[in-house]
Amino acid sequence: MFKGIRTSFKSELLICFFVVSLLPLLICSAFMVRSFQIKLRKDYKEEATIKLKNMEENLTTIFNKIDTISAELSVNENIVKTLYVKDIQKKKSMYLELYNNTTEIREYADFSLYSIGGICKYTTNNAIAIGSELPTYWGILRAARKEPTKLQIQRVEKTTSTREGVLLQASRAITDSNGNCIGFIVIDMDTNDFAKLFQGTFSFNTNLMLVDSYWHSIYSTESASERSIVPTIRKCILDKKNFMAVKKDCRIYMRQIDNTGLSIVLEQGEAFTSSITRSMYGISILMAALCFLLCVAVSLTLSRNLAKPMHTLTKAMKEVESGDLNVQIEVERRDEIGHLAMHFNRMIKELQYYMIKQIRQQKELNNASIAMMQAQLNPHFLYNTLDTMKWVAKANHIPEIAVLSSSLAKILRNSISSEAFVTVKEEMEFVKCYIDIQQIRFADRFDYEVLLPEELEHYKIPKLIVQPIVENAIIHGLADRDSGNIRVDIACEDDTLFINVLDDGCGMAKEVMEHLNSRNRDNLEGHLGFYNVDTIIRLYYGHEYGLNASDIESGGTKVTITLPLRKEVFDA
Amino acid sequence: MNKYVFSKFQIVVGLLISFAVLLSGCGNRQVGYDTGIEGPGDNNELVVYTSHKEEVYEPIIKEFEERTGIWVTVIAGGTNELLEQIALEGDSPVCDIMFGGGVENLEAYKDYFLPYTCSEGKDIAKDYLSADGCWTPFSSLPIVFVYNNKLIYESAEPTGWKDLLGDRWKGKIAFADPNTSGSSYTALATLLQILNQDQEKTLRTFVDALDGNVLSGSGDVIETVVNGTRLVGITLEETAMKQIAAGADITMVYPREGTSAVPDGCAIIKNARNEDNAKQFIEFIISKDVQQYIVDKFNRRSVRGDIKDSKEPFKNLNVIDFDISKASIIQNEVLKQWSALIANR
Repeated sequence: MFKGIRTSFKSELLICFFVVSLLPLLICSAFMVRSFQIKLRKDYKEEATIKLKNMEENLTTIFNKIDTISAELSVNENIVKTLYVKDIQKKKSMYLELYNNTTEIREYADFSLYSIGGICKYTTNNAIAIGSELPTYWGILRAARKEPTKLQIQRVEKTTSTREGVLLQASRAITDSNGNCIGFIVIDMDTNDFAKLFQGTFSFNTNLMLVDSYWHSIYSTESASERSIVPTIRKCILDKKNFMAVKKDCRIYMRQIDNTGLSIVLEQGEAFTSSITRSMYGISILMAALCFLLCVAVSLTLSRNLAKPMHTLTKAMKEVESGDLNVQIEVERRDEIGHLAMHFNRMIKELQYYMIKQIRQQKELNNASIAMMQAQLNPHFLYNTLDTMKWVAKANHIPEIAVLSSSLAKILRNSISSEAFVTVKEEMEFVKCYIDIQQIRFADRFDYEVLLPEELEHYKIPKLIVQPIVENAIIHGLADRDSGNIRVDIACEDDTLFINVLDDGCGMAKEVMEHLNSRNRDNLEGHLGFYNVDTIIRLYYGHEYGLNASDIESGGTKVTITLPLRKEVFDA
Repeated sequence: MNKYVFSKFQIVVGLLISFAVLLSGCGNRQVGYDTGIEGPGDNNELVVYTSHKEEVYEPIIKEFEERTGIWVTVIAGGTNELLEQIALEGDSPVCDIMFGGGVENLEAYKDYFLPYTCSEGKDIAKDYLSADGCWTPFSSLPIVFVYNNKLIYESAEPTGWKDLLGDRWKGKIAFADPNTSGSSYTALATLLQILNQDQEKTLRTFVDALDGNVLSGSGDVIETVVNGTRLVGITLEETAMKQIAAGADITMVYPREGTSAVPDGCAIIKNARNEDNAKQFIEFIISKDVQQYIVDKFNRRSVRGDIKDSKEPFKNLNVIDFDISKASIIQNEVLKQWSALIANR
């Protein structure tokens, strides 16, 4: 997934910016919306519960009062006695009785007295005509007659209500002292009564509804234009479905009012309607989009800022790769990238300098080899001359001259050969030539001995490394002696070849030996051969190899050449 | 490197998941079902299809609920529409009972109804009972004439069907299109059965008498008579009496030759889910209380013999023995001829 991203600095930056800017923004706004929602919902729920409880209390109080008053009236002696009396005076006192008893509740309900035949006799409501009729075999009066001791409460359907606006009727039978039903008290509650009751309990997002026990609406504060939710809730109850979701963005709370069969329903608009939530999330997304654009812009600028010098650097490096060392980057910036460019410039300069030096060295080296090639002409002539000398000496019977010239020729040939490596045997033969010359020169003042095991003869070593040591031993060790012994002792141990050059001469001064072993060139005047051999070996094989000088107890010096045991020529 | 990428990937995924959880956290809505609302309980429901007007079915349904404790769901509609719906639902009916609709209509759909004989059948006039009990009559609806009191002297009132066909009322009769109004067709069938002449000739004479003027709905009949556009109207007794009670200045006349009194009815649907409740409903609507109530409140005629009624006694109405099945059979033919006659004018 990140493979593609990680290849480009730009997209990497972009991702980083997203993570640090977009995510916190989105999480923050989600948290905000959610916590707002939760808090508001909680508040709304509390408010709804309180409203509902208040309303329930109000209604319970009213119905309790209606119940108590109607119960009192139903057995009120005066009423029982005068219900059917026609005397005007008595009628007045009857009304007085009715009005006095119903004072506290008349604001919300009207009381009427009906005869046993369902004819209205007395009423506190002007809109009800005295003499109007209610069927006693039907509805509220039938229920009241059937259960005389109980207050009956019924919804009034608007199509058959006795007068406009009556929504709820309650009724109780009036019974004489024998318990016989002689008439009815009918309590009407109309639209105005309910409007008074529900006043202030609903608001722009809250509606209250009163329903009967079969969930038919009695009164509702819903505006006439909207469809009532009560039938929908009723359907949900019938279908045993959850009615919380009957209306979008609404919550529904309900409570039953004791002893009446009525329920009160509160419909509350969601604090956060889905459209508000949507718009809030919409804003968040818009912000996120802005953030996204910003991220893109910033990462583009930044990456361009970074990528441009990188690009310049890469280009410069490519030029360097193709050999142009005159490249220099213009440094304008003082930040890390500026430093990088500066260091690059410096590095290229160093490289240039180094290259120039190299070239100069190479030139010098070339000069040297030309000189050497020129010098090789003379040795050939010398060699031929020596050969001639050898034959002239032999012809004239002067064997020393013959030996000297043939040995010298051998040495000369050996010196000018281009081979850098020779076998141990060849090296020793070369040393023998040198010894032959020196023995003639020093008139046999020393003996020479070589101890070369046959199995070591064919190992390869750099040429001319034993001769200088032997020369040292002759010149320094046996300088002032009449006789001496030089011995070259060749041995091997594991992978190491030891060539020991021993003499029984005067030995070496301690100071000189220290200098030799410390490989300090400055103090090795007169011992340059020693130093050169040591350097050659080290250059070829490394620091663990080389020369070591030590005293021999019985007198004399021992110089050990330590070399790796190799059959093949080490290709330097 | 890979490991690093993976852990970063994990972080991103983790963040995304927590974000998603945050957003979807809105789902935990509480359920407001803690209020102790009791539904109807088992077998305490009834679904009623009704073609009655709201003012008729509402008080009856309400009283039924109050008395039985059964929760009633009412679905109101036109008679034919509801019957077609019942036919469509077939073996898995939504409703339990069809309340309303002329019995000739119910007769046509009797395959979908469960025969039921109500316990008070003996009190119902025999003429109204269905042969096999597939439907139960609810109220009797005689066809009557009405005329405008302001425009017609009592002495010149329309007397009967033959009178209406005369030149006197030509173009002055308010009659609804029998294609749309069930009661209008019943009136037409009554006319045909009473005159008992050649069907097409009778129809032609009647269309001539109407002068081709047909009202779109039965509701318009009384209105056009009251406002004087027409002098005489043919309508149901119930409608006429209701309007008179509401103050319309019209007089109602029973035709001299007699009239039909086809009842509307009520039928239990076969395989109804709440069959017992449907039976209770039938018993309820045929009970004395309801029958008395429709007489008192809706100016309808009870189908029971033992209900006090202040209306013209039934025996004075000269009710003909209306052949429901015949009316049902010839309906399509008659309507076709009718439409043709109207169109040709």
